[in-house]
Amino acid sequence: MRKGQSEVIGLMVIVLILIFMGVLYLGFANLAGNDTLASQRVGIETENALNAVLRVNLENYDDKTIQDLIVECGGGFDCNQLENALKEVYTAVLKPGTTFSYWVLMEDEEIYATSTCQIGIVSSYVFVRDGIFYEAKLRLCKT
Amino acid sequence: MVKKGQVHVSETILVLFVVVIILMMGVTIYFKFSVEKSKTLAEELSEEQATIMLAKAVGLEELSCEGLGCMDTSKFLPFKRVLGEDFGRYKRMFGRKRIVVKELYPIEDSVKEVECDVVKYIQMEYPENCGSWVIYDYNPENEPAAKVSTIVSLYYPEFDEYRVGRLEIEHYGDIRR
Repeated sequence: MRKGQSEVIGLMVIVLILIFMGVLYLGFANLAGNDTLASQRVGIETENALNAVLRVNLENYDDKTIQDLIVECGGGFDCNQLENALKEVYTAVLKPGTTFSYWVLMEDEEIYATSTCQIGIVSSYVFVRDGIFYEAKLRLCKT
Repeated sequence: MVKKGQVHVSETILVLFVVVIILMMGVTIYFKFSVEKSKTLAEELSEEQATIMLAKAVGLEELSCEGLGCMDTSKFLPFKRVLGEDFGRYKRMFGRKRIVVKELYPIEDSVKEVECDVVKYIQMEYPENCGSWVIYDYNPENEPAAKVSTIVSLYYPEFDEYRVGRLEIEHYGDIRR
């Protein structure tokens, strides 16, 4: 191989490396911005989904709220009503392809948990009823 | 016969030519990318503004329950009336958007998309006879929209009842207009 040919090949290699680095940069530059905005929206969605559902009046459960059912669950009553109500409401309000995990603490002790998703932003809401602290937590996941 | 010096000059010119071509290609690609990026930046800013509005709309005095983090459905129809009287003010606040609130639970599927208006409001069946409010709509150039949405708590003070809905904001491209 002549000296001139090897120089041309060297130049081509440098150009290819530069193009490759440019493509990588453009790819990552686009990804970074969208991710932040999307996770902000998921955060808002999770917080609102928790707060709105906690106070909704449930027609099929004597107009009780999810908060009432949480207190009943913590007071030793059957937690099935809470579980069924949560499934009914979240099936109606969440977008298709979204799953949720929900758990409740009473005075820092877990009294109820349903876990269908593992990775996602968690939102929590604390309320007091008859001097007892309750904390409801919700996590939303996209499937 | 070509002298050695002439060969060197030809090589140098060839290398310079290739370097200039590469530089020109680089500048062109960078320029095209910059133009494309500024276009998408306007769309991203519009989306970001709509996302911020999603978080703020629930607390907007004209639409919200007082300090309870919910939207007062009894304020929606009066707000539309005020909007008609002072559109310029709300146009500056919201820009080119369409803001819709839809009830999600508990509601019959058949009335989910039925828009609530004064006629529906005064009927005995209310709020079971409609499930959607168009709060604001301004899209003078009929552009295609991108949509962001979030769940909201809806309060019906007439019945002292809370329901669940979805606040949808459709936004149109450039936020400057």
